[in-house]
Amino acid sequence: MSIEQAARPATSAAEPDGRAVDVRGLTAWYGAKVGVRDVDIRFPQEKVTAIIGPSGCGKSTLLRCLNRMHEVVKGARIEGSVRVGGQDIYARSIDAAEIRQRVGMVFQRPNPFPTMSIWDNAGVGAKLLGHRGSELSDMIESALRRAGLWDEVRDKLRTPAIDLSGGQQQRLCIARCIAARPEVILMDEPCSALDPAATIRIEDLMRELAREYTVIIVTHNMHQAARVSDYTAFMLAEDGAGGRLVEFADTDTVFTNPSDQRTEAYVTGRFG
Amino acid sequence: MIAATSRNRRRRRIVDTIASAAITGAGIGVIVPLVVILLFLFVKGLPALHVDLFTQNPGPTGVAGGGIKSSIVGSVLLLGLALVMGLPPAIATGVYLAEYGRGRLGFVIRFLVDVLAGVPSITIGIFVYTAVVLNMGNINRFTGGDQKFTAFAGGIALALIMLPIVSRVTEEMLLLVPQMTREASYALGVPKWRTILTVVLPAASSGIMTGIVLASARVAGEAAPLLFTALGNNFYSTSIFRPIDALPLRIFTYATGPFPYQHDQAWAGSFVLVMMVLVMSIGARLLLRRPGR
Amino acid sequence: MQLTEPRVRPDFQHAEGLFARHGRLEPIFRGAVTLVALSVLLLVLLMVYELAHQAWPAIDKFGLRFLWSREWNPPKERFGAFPFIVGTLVTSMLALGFGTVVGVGAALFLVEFAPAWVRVPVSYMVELLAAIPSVVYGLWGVFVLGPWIQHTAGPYILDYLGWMPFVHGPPLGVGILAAVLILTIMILPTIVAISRDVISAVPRSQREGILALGATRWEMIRIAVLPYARSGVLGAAILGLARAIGETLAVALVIGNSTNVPDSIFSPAYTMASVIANQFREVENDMHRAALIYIGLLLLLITLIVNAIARVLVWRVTKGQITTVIE
Repeated sequence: MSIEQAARPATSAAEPDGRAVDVRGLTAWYGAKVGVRDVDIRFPQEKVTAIIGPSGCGKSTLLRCLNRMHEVVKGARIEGSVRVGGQDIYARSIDAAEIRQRVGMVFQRPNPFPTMSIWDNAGVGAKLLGHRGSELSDMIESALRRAGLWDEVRDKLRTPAIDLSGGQQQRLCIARCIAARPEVILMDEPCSALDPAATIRIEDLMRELAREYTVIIVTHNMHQAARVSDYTAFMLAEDGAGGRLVEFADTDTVFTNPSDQRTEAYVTGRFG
Repeated sequence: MIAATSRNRRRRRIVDTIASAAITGAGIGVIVPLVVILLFLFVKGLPALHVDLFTQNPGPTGVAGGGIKSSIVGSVLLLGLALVMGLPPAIATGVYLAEYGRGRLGFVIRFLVDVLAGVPSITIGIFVYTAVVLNMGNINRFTGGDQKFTAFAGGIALALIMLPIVSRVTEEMLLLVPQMTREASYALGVPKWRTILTVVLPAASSGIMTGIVLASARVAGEAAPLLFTALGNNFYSTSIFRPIDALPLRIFTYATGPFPYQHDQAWAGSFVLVMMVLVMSIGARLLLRRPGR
Repeated sequence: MQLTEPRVRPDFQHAEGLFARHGRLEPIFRGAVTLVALSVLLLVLLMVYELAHQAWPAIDKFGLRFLWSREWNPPKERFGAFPFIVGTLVTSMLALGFGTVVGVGAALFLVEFAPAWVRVPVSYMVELLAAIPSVVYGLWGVFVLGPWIQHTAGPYILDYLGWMPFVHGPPLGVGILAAVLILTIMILPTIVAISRDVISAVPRSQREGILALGATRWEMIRIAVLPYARSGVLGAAILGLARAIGETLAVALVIGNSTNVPDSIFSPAYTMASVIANQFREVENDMHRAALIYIGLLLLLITLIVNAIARVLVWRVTKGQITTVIE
């Protein structure tokens, strides 16, 4: 497989919105505590959607429900449905691990595997899928290129991944994520641990990734949301009964002409 | 639409199941030995339990009957000797390491305490043999005794085993006492040494007691260091400067003996020993959990 | 037995100079306590000296030849420790192998699989295993394990694995295999306890990172958990090895007491510790005793080195969080 072919994501034949994420009536608990309540939202495919809101409003919880990472914590459960490309990811017949490969995640703090080299880190996901040899090499190189990291690491691919700077590590994590051929990419405050220069690079990356993937990011930085996203969802946890979706619209509208006054209060900085 | 082949998924799922089964097997397998050993202790030891066991001393070798009273008493005496000889230096060392041992000397001593903890108990037995048993001539001049192998030597050996354990626990427990407690005492004008003795040590006492009980449980089961120090004794003795028997020693001797009564008594003795040790270990943990402070 | 406490070494000793009024007795107390602590230093040095001193006649006569000489002939005063060194190495290494596989597996079970109501009792029972005295293991070995090997397991192994090297001879109930099995059981608590700590310490971010790529639980363990924990697990294994090397009585009861170099898992043999235990009280001459003490010295040196390696490895992973292991 050539690098170009490796770069092109496997496309869906049947579904026109094969990469959209459809959430209906989602309520998620941590034990007895409600994290998010009654969320209905449709994340459009091949666009960047930002989820914003004050601390504790449930944005990360919502995000983690989209790739079934929410249930990794003991005592966590959900009600409602989440569909990726029309398929219910919580169906009994579905293996959670399979969903997590299709809906990838980049975390707040870069988490490369310290015992592995840059090259091995990038290839972990792809290797799990059974790719080997030159096919695997192409996939890794392609992912590193698309993450904008290739030129910086091409001479030290076998050196430990933790020797990289924070920003580079995060781009490595992004490369690792896309090498595993997901359909959707989730990002949970991916820049909050990084310096401004690294942040800008990753923001550019987000826009580029949206050309092929559905990108959903959680951010506490409104300006980032305004810069990067096509759509924005605003959440709020009001009475201690879990976070709710307050408003969801294209980014311009949310920031310049929101319909809900709470949204307006938040984006104009009156609280949060 | 799936990016991964279903063959890949199936294979990985099977591997995951096999690995999970193996790991669960190991988890269960690890407690099987304990269950089996305890089972046999009950099955073989309990029936052999007899009042005579505790009230009588061993008869002449080969004659069935008799008991292990001398062994039990010996074990208690040896433990007492070990505590008397071992606790003060152990606690003092722990105090030093926690309160004064910050610098290089403290580092070296802490390291050596760890080294001592790793010495096999038989080597400690040899050392006490060479240092004490072989020098009994000199010691006997003071005590008027005439024996080379003595409970005294055995007690020293056990004290040496106890020393690093109690010392480390003492240090750890003292370090847990908040600095504020010390400072409150200093603010009242109490000098450091007095603070340690009257404030800090009592505060750490329940943890230290736990450590002592656990160390005692460990020492009660040791026989290797007694082989050529206390030697063992077929006769009842409570004299410090004579050879003395101990329960684990007797079990060892009887286990290799040719007579069935010895085997029975070895099982009974093991039952008693294990129960003693378990009670002490469990008791120590309960001590740790008590909110007494 | 294990007491695990986080150790934060408070820097109060420096600040104390400012606060504590010392009084006249303080230097005396401090001096006394320091002196006692110093005596520990002296003790260890004295131990090495005494052993070397008492072993000297044998060291002088046999030198390093002692390590590979096979002849053990007390009446003729010809001594060589090779059979015992082999016995020690074989039994401890095999016990290390089995113990690590089962022990790490059990630790993974406790951390990754077991719900709390299983984890707590099982952990507890593993610790109880450590409290059982060595003689009792030996007794059980003589009367339960031995016959089992002789009548059940041994013939079975011979039937199916008899083609392998080192698997031949009559399946006696005493010998290398019996010793290995008992040692494995005895070192399990050490390996399980430390491995469990080390595996729990693997950060959540590592586990989530690999899960987010679509890994199964075993893949998570194999790729993110075990490699991260490997030096700590290795340290646990080596601590177990140190324990196995020094184990005396349980081994003495089941090893079969032969001064020949073992050539099969069913061969009777001797380990360094068990030969001392068995022969010391009936030494035939002074050179015999010196030779045994020479072995004791070697045993000391080996355990010191192995323990040091283990502690460095475990310390590196837990990074100063001290685990007080009451063995």
